[in-house]
Amino acid sequence: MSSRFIEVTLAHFFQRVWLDSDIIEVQILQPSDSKSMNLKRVLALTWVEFLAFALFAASSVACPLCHTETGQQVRAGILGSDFTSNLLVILAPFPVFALVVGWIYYGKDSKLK
Amino acid sequence: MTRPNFRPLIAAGVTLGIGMGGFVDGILLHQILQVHNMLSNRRFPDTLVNVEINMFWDGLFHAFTWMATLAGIAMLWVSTARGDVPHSSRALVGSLVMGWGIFNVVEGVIDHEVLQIHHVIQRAPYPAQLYWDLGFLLFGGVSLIYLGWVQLRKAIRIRRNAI
Repeated sequence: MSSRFIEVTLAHFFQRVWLDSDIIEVQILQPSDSKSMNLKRVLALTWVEFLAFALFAASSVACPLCHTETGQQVRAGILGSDFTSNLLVILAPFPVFALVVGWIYYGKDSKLK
Repeated sequence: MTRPNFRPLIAAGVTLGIGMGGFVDGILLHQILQVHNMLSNRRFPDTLVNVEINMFWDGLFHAFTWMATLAGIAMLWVSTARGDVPHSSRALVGSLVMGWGIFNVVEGVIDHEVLQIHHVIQRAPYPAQLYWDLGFLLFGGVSLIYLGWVQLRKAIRIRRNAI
């Protein structure tokens, strides 16, 4: 990410969260046409910024092990040949839960009525 | 006066109880006490790599218990709009407790006994491990289902007598 992008993104973020004015926005993005920035556009931009942070900044900064040898071993351990088998065994109780709840909801036992 | 229909309320309460029971298991046994993790019988969490791998599968399991909780809230919300479903706190609490017990029985039988992906006290030696598993089924499962069922029966009886 370029420093200009980060600068604009941070300005937007802090403007909406802390400042309650559109001075920074006018200066950075639209110096001559500040009135045309409607609410929908502001909200859409906020979401784009949030996603940009989530996708680029957070993944590189927040994960302490991602770029280490341990991180690679963890990924290999999770996404190995036993991934599908692990996934199936972990989700195995949930169809049973659904059956039990379905039986309670649709059952014919008149004692619950 | 129409006969009250407890089924939607019980189904909602049991679903919520299953979800919340999953959270109790995950928060108390996996995270606070750290007596087992989701795959601790396959990957014993004695290295950082295995701890992290177990953490991933714990998280996935919790994501599904969260969905069960959400489904329970939705079902409860829908049931409150029905005129034939009684507004009974005792029935709801009984259903929640029963759902918690159902979670423990189903999870205990499938995960601890059938698939054996983990045991209640993973570090315990073999016979003790089995006793802990059976104790969990008895006290955490069957007892809670019974307690919930007693409360439910009482709630239904009170409502019937009031008609």
